[in-house]
Amino acid sequence: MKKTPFDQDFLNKLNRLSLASKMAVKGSTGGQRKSNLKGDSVEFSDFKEYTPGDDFRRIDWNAYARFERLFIKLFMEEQQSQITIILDCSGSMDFGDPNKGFLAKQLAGIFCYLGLNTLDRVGLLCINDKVEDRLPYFTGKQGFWKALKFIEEIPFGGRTSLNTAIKMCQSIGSRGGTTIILSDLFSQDGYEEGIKYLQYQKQEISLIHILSPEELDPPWDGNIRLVDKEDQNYRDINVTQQVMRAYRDTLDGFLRDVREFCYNRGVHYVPINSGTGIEGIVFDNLVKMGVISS
Amino acid sequence: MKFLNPWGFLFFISIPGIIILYLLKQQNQEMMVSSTFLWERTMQNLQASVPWQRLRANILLILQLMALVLFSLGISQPFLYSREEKDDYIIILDSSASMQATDIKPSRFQRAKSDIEKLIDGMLPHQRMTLVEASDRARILANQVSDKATLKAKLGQIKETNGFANMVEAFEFVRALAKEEPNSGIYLYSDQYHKAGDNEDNPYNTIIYNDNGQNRAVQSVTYSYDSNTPIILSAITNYGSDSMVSVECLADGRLIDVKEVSLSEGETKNIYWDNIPTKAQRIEIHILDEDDLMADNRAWAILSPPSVNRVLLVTTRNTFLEKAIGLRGDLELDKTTLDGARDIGGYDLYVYDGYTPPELPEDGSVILFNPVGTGDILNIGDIFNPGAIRLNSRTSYRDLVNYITPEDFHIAEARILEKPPWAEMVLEDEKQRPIMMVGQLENQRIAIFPFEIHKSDLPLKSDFPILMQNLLGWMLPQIVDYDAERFAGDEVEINPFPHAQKVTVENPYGLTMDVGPPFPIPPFSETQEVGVYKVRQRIDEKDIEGYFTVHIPTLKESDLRLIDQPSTETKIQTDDRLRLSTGKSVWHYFIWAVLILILAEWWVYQRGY
Repeated sequence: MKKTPFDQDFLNKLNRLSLASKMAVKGSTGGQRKSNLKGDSVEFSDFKEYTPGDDFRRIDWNAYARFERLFIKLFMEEQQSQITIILDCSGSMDFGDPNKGFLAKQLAGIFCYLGLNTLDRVGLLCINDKVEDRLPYFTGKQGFWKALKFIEEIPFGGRTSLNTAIKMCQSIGSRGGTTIILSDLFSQDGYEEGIKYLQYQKQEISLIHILSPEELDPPWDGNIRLVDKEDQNYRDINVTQQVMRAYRDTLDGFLRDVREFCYNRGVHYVPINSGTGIEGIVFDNLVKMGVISS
Repeated sequence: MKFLNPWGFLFFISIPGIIILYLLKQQNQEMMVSSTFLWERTMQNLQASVPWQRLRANILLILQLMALVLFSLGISQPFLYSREEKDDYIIILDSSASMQATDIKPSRFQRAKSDIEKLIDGMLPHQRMTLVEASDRARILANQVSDKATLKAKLGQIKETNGFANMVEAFEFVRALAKEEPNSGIYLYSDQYHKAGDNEDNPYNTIIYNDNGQNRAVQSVTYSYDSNTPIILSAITNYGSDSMVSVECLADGRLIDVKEVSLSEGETKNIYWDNIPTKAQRIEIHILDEDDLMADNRAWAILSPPSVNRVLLVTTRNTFLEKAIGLRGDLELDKTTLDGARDIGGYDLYVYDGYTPPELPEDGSVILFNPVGTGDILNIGDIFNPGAIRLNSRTSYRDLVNYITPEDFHIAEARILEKPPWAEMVLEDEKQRPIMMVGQLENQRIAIFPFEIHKSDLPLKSDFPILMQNLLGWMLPQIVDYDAERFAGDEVEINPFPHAQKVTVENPYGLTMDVGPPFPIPPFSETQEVGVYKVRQRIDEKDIEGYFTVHIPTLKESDLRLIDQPSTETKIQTDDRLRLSTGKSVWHYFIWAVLILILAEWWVYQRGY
């Protein structure tokens, strides 16, 4: 029986988490996120001299008594945020023990749940070298199960071209929001331009970089033929200790480059080992890295 | 450095094979990975697009190539040489009794053989060796042989003997062999220098095995009788430093006496032994103390056995014959007339005078004087008057007329006899008519004189008894001359009785050898062992035994001390270094190095370098 990414016990734990957002976002409907717009929440923001056309119900009569001028109170408006979850569904994600794709689906479900829990609009995009599938933005917890079903049915395959695929994600729009990318970043054309594009679209980005234990510390030795899962190309390698050292150096360099890029661009970067348990990832890695606030 | 087996270099052909194996990509285990993204970055120099990869400095490859080179060198059997090589070696191995000496361990002979074996091992493929054994007779065991196994097998056949080394004969062989290959290296392995090989054309090296061993020898054992009681005289010689030795005397295996003898260096002392039983036959003198050559510590003597031959003289009356035959003391002579001669048997010799038996007796030798009448054995013709008598120059029985002058004989008349095919004319007249015929019919010896003694002046001359004794000696021989001095390897003449059915010889170690039939018996030559040999002849289900002894030639072999080297003009050289410089095999060092390299390769492989 195929393992399901979620169970009720795990979902219960998610109730006390919410997505952290440093960035105030614009939205058209009310939500639970603070907006720069002055609205009708209970939180005081500023005073403004009354001008005709203003809602006279907001006139502060106490201030009129003191200054004999009409002021109206301004309050913070709480608006809905748009959360976009981009899931890399290329063939390379369906690898590892524990499987990277399985973990990515779990995390996508978690982020979806958290977003809906804060009354945000949540949308899902599955990309490889193009937008393979998408779940349009929706709100309300009642849509969660539909989202889970969508996530569960995502197939893995195709080659990874993050730059190309992200630029195809027109549905994100430019009104701002939060984008969470779940990928191993084994992209033929890189990932940097895609992230820059998303930032241009005023997205606060969290990059969840998932690698399997086999990729972090390959267990192989001797003469092996490595077959690429995405394109079936192979490379014959005599794996010696010298080769392993070179691989680790390459991997470290790769991770360092991603981290530096993210740091420079203000992107939340969370490297994750798929061998780490989901609970540990959520309550430790994501919270520590500021992606989730408890 | 030389290589005994240059074919081993063929293994160098496999070096490209190893390199190709490294160039050729191996059949790899297939592993599915998420992406080769990082691996491609890592392994930029590992390209799978062609079946060959760039040959890299791989420590495993270097180790394997080194191992292969060393292995190839190893199986090429490298040898280190430190002397001038010869294409042909002529090896003379002295196998005389003195080479048994143990002053050089395990013995001079064994050490010499071992050194020759090393020399064989060190031979190069193109080199040949000739092996000559110098014992009492020289023998060529291998002639210009290159095959080491054959040479070693032939060398193994050479055993130390109890005889002397016939170096004269050995060097005759060597000179003949060296004529074919003038540049041969001639090496004599011996315990003494020998002048026999002194030849300016063929200088040779002598490898000496001599540590001046200590030796005492029983030089001789003789006997005499005093009132029928034997007295033994033995001579003991000391070929070493002053010493005291114990000597024992045994008669038929029973100890008679033991005597202590003090001998200074080079001294010979006679020791008398009495109290010998009258009927004793076999005497053994034994030096009890051990020395470097034990084979000459014993010597033997056979006391004369009582032996009586029976002779039947068939004659009307012939005093001359009777007297001449009776001169021999060990005969029992019976006389009978012509009438009583019929159907008589049991004699060792029948002498017929003026009578021809219708058929020859079955059990003895026969002498016919003046055969008359008719018979199956002879065709007797008319009477003739012989002229001057002479020796037939072609006869092989010349010994029978030793000390005789046939020309002095005069015979008035004789009968013409047709020479039987088995007989030879020994004496003849000027017209080549037979005067004395001798021959052997199977095992029966026959002599025929076709004249009456009384009608010649033969019995009046001193030649007659001599002739008769010569004839009797041939007709009635001892089966073997027990008293003769014989050395190991000598041939021994065995003379069985005419009616002997089977003759065997038992050597000192109890090994019995059949020597007859066929008859006559050729000289017996299996006399390499020293001791007492027993000759047994079977006659009518009865065994008659005789003995003879074989000794070491002590005068030639017992002195183990090294005689001074001859002057350098004799061209005899010694090269003691030869013993050590027969070539040092170093192939095993290479193989050890190969093993170490293989271990190193395994270690490197395990460590994953």
